[in-house]
Amino acid sequence: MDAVLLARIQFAVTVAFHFIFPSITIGLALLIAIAETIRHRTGGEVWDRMSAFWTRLFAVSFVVGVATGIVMEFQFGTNWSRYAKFVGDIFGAPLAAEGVFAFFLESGFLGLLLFGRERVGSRLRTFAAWMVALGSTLSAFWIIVANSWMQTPAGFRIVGDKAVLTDFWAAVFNPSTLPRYLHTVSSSWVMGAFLMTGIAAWFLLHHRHLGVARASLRLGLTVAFIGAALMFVTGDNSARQVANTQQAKFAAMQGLYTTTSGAPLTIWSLPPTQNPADAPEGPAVVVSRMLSFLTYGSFTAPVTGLDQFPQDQWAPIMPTFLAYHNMVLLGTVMLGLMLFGAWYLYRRSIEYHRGWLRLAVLAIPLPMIAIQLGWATAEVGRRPGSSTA
Amino acid sequence: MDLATIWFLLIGVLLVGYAILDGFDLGAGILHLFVARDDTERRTVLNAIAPVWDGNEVWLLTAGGALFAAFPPVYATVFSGFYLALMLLLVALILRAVSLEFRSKVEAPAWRATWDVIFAIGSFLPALLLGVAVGNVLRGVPLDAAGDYRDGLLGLLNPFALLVGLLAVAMFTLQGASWLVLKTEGAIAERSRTAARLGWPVFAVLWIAATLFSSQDAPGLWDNFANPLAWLVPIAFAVVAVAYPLALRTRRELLAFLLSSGSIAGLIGIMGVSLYPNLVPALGGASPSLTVGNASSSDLTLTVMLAVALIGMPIVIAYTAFIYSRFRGKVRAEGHGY
Amino acid sequence: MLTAQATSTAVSATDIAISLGLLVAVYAVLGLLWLFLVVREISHGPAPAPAGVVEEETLPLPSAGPLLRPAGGPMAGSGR
Repeated sequence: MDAVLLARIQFAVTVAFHFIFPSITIGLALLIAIAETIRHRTGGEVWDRMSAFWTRLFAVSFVVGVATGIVMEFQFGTNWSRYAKFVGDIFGAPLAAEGVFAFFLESGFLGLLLFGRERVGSRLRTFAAWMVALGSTLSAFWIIVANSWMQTPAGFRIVGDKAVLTDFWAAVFNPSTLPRYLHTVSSSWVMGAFLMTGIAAWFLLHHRHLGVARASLRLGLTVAFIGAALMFVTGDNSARQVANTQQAKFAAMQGLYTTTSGAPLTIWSLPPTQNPADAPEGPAVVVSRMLSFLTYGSFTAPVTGLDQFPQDQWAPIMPTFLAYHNMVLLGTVMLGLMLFGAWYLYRRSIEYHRGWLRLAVLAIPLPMIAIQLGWATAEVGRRPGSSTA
Repeated sequence: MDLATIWFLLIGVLLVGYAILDGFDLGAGILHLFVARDDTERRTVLNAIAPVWDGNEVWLLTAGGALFAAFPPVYATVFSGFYLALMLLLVALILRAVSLEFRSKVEAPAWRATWDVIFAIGSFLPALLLGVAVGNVLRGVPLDAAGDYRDGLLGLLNPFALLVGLLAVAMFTLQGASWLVLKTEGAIAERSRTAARLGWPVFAVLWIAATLFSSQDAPGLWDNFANPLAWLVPIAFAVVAVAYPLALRTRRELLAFLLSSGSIAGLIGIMGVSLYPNLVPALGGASPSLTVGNASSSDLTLTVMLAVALIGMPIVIAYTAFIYSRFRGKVRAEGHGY
Repeated sequence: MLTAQATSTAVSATDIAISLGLLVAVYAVLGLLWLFLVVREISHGPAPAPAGVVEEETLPLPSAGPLLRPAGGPMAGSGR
């Protein structure tokens, strides 16, 4: 195997494994902060035990995320040194800012939250929980800034053999930063909330720790429902950004070979092939004109197809298409599940719906799978370029 | 002073911060098998570093990011050139991080003994590997026409670099011992005191040996000392280092820890003075040395980064100091902890 | 910039194969240990309720509102 392929595999394996843990901790950090706030406000001892329990799960996940995160940062130098030299003027700053503005905050106050329970007052403990949540959410921001710059570079010009920063804020808030950041963070909330909801459901099914389980179910389910809805809003926003700024990727995601006015939305079909001539004929579920409408708000708007790009610049179509469509499918399943859950919770009947509780346990891995598919869509769809600069 | 020189200094400051802070928890990890004999003592040692080690490691992450941002070719050349050594460092840091967290979760003695050994190795290896890497940077490495170092892992294992590697291990061990003397009491504190007393002469001898050896192996490091002002740094280091055993003997524990930290700052200061304006001196080969002048990012990037540092670091230092103050005093095995 | 032109020239395929093997092994061990510890943490559960607090009553589902079935529910009886 050649070095490029091996380096790619190493990067992909590290990212995929690493990202399991931040997405859990970003979500749990918010939930713990909310639980700490309720504990501080009401003095309810059940919220105290609950936040201690989830903080322990947080800590186990956090440490794996930190340990693998160092590999992520160092890999740009170790394995991608020509890339590092080419973009260092722009790309290093967000990584450094992530340390300064996010990791110090998160790790410092986590120490206080985990080991300082007897050394700090209730107010400071709640504050520490919010600082951990803020730190983890900010760290996602800076790493998304770096990755989004690879997707849609801005605020630079090429001087000789390297990219040179010309406008810091344009580089930070490049076209894809905010849509992708909001989508990533809402997905992480969903991940943490599904974990909390699923484990609480398991406790209820086995009739254990009922106080903590009920508190966790109420909080987890509420955040999972709101988060799943936000995930759709931010996902829609993110897809439109891709359609506007990364048209080749958008066409690969949708499996659209030819530019079409009033393009149909493919809900399900056999996966498209790299060569349009081999494209499968088969059953498909499509909504006519819907892609044009969702993307541009008009049933007749043209959507750019792959035919507008030289074939050697196409991303691998089948993986991009499959990752994207399955992500959306999973998102729909998750939102549907939480819609029922929220209704049962509102009707105060959730504990009687043992079938739903069992589904909630089984659904714990779904957000993780969807998140991995989302990353695959973003990263595979970006090929063959490391960055479009 | 130009921006690139400011960043040379600031990366030095980040490295000093890392070496002082992570230094004491790496050192505690190297020592813990020797100064803590049973499970309760081990837990006491771990509790002495538990709330803060993670934040300490962020200094390394931030220094890496700052190096990437301010001097991309240095980051690219050193990290890709020292590939296998760095991968080993990363694996060691991963295992070390999880051994701390995982150890406490299961009470079986075999489980805990395994993680204790992994924790010790995972603390020793980073100290050694970082020292060897710094030793090679100080000595200079051959750079080919593309500015790459290509002699692999074996090329890094030269006597001078190994000497600096051992010096780093001694320095971190001394720092760890000083921290444990400050934070623990009873048998652990006494054993740590012994370790510090025995470790100091080893550290001093290794430093003298590395210094003498550098005049043969890396004479370029002495160029800046033609300027008499440059001698202030090694003199300050020597004063602090000599005061250390006195503070230890008179049982001024906080002072001893601060002097140990000061000697780390002094040692890295000496390295900075010796190196400037080089970042990676070229040892033969087709490319010139990477210097503050030819390897820095654009002025705009360095200015933005300076703003990030000037806004961010005072806040970081303020709340870090606050968190340390919350955990001041001696630790025990009981209560919330490992 | 193409990914194929972004790699480190100084790092050989052998080097990466070694590091990849090492990292995959470490990740596998970490992943399994993480799963093991999370399952363990869950099976231990949160700290028990302090003496005098009846778990079922610590946070009753409010009986006001459109409750379909009687308070307490089918699960309240079989406490452990």
